[in-house]
Amino acid sequence: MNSIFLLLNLLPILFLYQFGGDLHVSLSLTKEFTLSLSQTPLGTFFAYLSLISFLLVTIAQKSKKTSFSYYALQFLLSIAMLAIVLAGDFITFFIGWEIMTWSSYFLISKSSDIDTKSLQKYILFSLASAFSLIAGMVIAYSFANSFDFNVIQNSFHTMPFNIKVALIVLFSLSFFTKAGVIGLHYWVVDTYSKAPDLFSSILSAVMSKMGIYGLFLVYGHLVGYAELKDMFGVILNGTDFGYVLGWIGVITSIIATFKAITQDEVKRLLAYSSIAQLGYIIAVIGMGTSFGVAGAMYHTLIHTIIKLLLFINVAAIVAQTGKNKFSELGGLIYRTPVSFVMLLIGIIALAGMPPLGGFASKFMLYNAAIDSKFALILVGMLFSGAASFLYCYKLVYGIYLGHPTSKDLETQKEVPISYLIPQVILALLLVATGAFPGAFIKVINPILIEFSLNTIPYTSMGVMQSAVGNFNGLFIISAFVVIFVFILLLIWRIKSKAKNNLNRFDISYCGEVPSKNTQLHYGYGFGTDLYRIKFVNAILKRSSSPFYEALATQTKKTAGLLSRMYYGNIHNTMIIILLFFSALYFIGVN
Amino acid sequence: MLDFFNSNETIHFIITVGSMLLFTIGLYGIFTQKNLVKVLISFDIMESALFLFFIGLHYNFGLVAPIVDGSDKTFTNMVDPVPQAMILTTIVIGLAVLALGLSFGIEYFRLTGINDISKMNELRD
Amino acid sequence: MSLGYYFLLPVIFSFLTPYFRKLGTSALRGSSVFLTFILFVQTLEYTGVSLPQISQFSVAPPIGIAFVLDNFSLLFLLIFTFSGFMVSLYMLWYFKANDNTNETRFYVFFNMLLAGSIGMILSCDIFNVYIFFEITGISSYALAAYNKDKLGLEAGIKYLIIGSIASIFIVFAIMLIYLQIGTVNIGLIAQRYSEIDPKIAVLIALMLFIGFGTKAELFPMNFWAPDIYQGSSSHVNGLFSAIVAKSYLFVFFHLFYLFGLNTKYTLLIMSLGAITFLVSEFTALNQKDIKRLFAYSTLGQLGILFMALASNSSDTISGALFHLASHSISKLLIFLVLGILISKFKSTKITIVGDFKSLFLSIVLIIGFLSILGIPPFSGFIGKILILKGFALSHNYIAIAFILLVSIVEAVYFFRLIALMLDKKRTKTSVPVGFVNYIVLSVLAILIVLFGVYPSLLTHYTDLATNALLQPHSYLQFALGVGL
Repeated sequence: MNSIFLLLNLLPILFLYQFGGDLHVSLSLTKEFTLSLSQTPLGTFFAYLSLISFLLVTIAQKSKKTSFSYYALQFLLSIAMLAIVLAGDFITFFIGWEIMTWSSYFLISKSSDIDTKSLQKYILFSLASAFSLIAGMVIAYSFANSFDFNVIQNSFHTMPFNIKVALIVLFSLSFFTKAGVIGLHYWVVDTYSKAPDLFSSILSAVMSKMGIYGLFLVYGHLVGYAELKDMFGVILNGTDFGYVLGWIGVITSIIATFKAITQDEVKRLLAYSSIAQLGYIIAVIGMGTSFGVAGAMYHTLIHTIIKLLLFINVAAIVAQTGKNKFSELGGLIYRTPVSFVMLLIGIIALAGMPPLGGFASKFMLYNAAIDSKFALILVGMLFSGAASFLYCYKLVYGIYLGHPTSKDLETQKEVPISYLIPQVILALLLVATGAFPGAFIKVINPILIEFSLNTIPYTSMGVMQSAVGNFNGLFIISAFVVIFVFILLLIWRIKSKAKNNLNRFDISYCGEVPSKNTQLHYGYGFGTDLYRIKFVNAILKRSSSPFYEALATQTKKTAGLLSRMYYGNIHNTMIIILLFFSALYFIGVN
Repeated sequence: MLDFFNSNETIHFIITVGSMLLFTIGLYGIFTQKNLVKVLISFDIMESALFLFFIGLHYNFGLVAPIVDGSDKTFTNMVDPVPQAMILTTIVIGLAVLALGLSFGIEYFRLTGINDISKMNELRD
Repeated sequence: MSLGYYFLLPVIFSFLTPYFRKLGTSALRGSSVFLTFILFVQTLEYTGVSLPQISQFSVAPPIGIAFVLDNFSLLFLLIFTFSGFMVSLYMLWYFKANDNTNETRFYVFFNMLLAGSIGMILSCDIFNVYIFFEITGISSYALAAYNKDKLGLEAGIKYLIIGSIASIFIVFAIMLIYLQIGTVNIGLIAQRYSEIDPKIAVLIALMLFIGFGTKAELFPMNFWAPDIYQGSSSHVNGLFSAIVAKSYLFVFFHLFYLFGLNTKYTLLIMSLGAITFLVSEFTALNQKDIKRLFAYSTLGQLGILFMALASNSSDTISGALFHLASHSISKLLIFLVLGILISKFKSTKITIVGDFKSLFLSIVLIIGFLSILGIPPFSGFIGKILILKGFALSHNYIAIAFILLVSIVEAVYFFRLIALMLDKKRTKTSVPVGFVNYIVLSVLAILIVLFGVYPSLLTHYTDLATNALLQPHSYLQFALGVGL
């Protein structure tokens, strides 16, 4: 079954490759509705991104017992996403969007530890996002008389100002919900953490990117950055609009970073980290400069790779050990060394440290902020980037370092090879994007042309050009490799003398003898000290859940109140009808 | 003096007032009565009021019943037959509804012992 | 075939039902399938004929009785005959699998219901409309109570009382019209409606509004409706939702546009429709009884239809008619599936949705749910987006926001049911579906998908119907006998 679906997943990639970037088909549904696919450089980028992600995840599914319906739904999901990114009009886009919503809903419901509340959260937020989108698209239709992207793009500047603002707000809300901007992220964490382990990687790496694709589509293509500049004016070197988005993104990433550090469940930490990373993208997406777009694109790519890598890694560990909390894991470095190395590569990139792709993308993001002279936003981004080191550390420490927290962890074996293949590919991709950051400029430039922005000069594969300077990824990575190999040799020499397998009670304690139930692992308490910092405490204590819970309660109360009208007394119903008639008559006659 | 009563206006006035009174009685019944049979009777009273009103307004002095017996081919001096046909049909329908309602009522009373429509509230939120 | 047979055949079959019963249960069930099949095929034939068509009895119009079929009524005729056919097929299974002591009674009133509702949409004489209104009414009271159980009888009594109120209003309105204009022909009334004294005209309009609005379950005249749905059997609910409510809706808007009331009362009906939608979707959140829940859902969808059909713009109306057809099919599907579940579990609690194990039923039920929610690629989506597009073209953004916001509330309970269905922790019992149900339910589900992916099949008819509704010139000519 796995190999069949592996081949099936290959098909769309071949199909896309076959058309070579120039796919334009349309099919008339009714006299108003046309389904049309129209390939743009932007869409092609996202299409390959999602299709290859699906392929890699399908490889990882090889050793996990998976039902036919799961594979079929996943394939449907990938086709729906393909429809979204290749859509040439809103009807196709929306159909893809909704099929994505319900097929992912059914996929999430296949998880063993999903509950009704999380499912409801997921689907209601998804539908709210979809309905916001539908509102935007019909309003756009009422002025452009077409759902076609190009027609809407051409007639956008003729619309009244308030309609333009309404459209931008509606579309932004819709895509922000999918990307999980703070305040609208209520569904994200529960869904990511409770979905089937491998599907979480799709949710975080690919599905949230559909929100980013939507934002690019609206800001860059439908509205146009020039139009955004005209509408809202310019502040510093960027648009006013970009400044607002910048703050939204930075606040999202700061809050989510701190929340991530305090999580005990591995997938919850990754979910918050995902929100934080998307916050960076949103922070620069509205700046309206070439570097803003380039930074956002590059970070989209890198974040997809990283989150696929990390979620597959964690899924493998969870499948192997049956544990998904930091307080239950630990000390796996000697049992699953390959996984450890993969995770290490992942978090190095996630933290934005050189020499991997993560550094290149962070470099571009900071560049974009500097280029627009958004200094405060840059400071915010740097702050949350620094704070993200903490959860990256927690990730590697909690799972692999320290000592095992239970007996069965001591006898674990390396995870199945099918989990490792995609991880190795992704890790190599991270190395490649770090070594040849300039190669990506070739991908970005057509998109910049599509958005009518200036292109970024391209010198060589290894060099990333920017406004404040260049960096040579190839040189850096070579230097790092040399140093790394040197250190590795050193460690290898020391290690041969050290004890190979740690016992979990192999610790020094002062008088108090730990029992079986004592939490000995450092990962257990990691991050709790953050509550003592006033500023962080203020962030961590706040949550959007009281708001949504109150909304739910109020809705229930309203429902209870309204349903009292239907209390089954036919006599009163009769009288109401007669009184209603007389009331209407008196109004009508006078 | 009694000729006063022979004018169309007076007859129509009396019929209007009378049927409105009847209608009001029916309406009063609907507003106050909760016994299913009484409610159905109130409906019937209201309907009767409507029938009287409608037939009465289409009657003018000197007109004969709209019955064509073959000898008289002139259709003059006849009451408009359409309202009468309509009312006849409506009476039949009203009867059917009444019969159905009463049979429901009887069956329901046998099952539960309730004939008060405001107490028929097993179906409710 | 003369249009009169649409009324006559069901009535004849209805009267012959006891005789069929004597021949045997299969003859009884077969006769109903045969009848509905004939009607459906005949209606399909009318889709290729130039419309309007007229059939008259006794004298030529405007005097005498005439049936007129135009494109607007054709759409409804298609829905009714198709739904009738599907239900009669379903009943083949139902009475085999369940207690069939009341079988004869069901078929008598089922055929009568078809006669009444079809007569109501074909008749071009307002008094005949009233007669068919009552025939539909009486047969639906009887259908609500045909099992003679406590809840059914209560529903029947409630329905009957409300029906009597509505009929008094309608009789009164017809009498006032006759007193003012001296005719009951809809065409003539439409022509001369403006001649009526304005005060009386308001009275007539309001009485028709209350009469048909009550039956068509418009807020605040719909407090009875959930009770009726809760008390009746599930397949009867399917009929109520797919045929009965829709036939009252037809008359409501047919008269609304023919009498030129659309200039004055649009706002009233649109806002009442909006309130209906809001109140019933919110109320549905609290329901524990599955039939009652879907009663509220039906009310909500009727609310949208009221909003859209009263809107006066051809785009919105065309979308509303699409939505109407799609809603009829989806609700029929849902109620038929619920019928299977209820007859298995002997319970009407909401949790029965989570207790069954049948992949086929789950899939068709979910298709029905998603279609009503307006999620692609199912037919409800096309209907909803056409309505929204229509509102957008007339720059009625409040209506768009309203529909979309309330739809989220609607999604809450629909997805609660789906989550219940997908919940693996519940113990599931397998449910026998029955061979004929596989056919009926998959036909309905396939239609939902088909109209979702290939909507021009249906939009062709809805566009024609919208034209017939908004430009009733040719209908009037036929109704008046001018075009003959």
